[in-house]
Amino acid sequence: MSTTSPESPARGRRGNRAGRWVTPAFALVLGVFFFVVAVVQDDLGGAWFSLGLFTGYAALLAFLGSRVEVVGLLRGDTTDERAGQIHLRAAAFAFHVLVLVLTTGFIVGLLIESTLTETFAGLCAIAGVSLIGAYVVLARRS
Amino acid sequence: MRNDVRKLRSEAALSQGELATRLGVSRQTVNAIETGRYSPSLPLAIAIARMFGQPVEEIFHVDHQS
Repeated sequence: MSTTSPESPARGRRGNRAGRWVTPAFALVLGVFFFVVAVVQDDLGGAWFSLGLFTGYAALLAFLGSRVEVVGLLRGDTTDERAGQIHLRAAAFAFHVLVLVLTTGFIVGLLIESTLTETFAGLCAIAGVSLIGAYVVLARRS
Repeated sequence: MRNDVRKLRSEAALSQGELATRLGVSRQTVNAIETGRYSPSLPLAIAIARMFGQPVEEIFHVDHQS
């Protein structure tokens, strides 16, 4: 039984109601942004594709988020402690994948003497410093 | 960890959704607890125990067999 509780068990969904629209709205804003950028670059096909893609994603989040749990999680719903734990574990998994990709990119960049090696090294450094910083802060707080 | 939440919920004639609403969690979380896929936090376990009027250790059983 876990003794940590990212969210209070008694926390209802009411408090998250407004927050549920943040991610769909952000997706819409991104869609409009990419639409404008593509129009400026005279790429009408790409513009409509971007707008359609992000609008569809926003609609998916908005209308299925309450019915399908995974979509709700994508929308950022943390309705209870289990959802909070799923978010944490998913973020940790994504972080590990990212670090693996960055490290591989760095090593391959070194081997083929790519100009991207420094970029990969910098990103690896950011990931490492973030992890160490998180350990220091969380060890003190927990 | 095994638990008797499903049995107690059935005896109380509650649906998963009703229990979830009373506990302030999602229906999926109640289902995950009942099927043993998720071990609740101590506050949630206490809330469940209080709801059914039983001690936590009477509802949740640590499985020592590994």
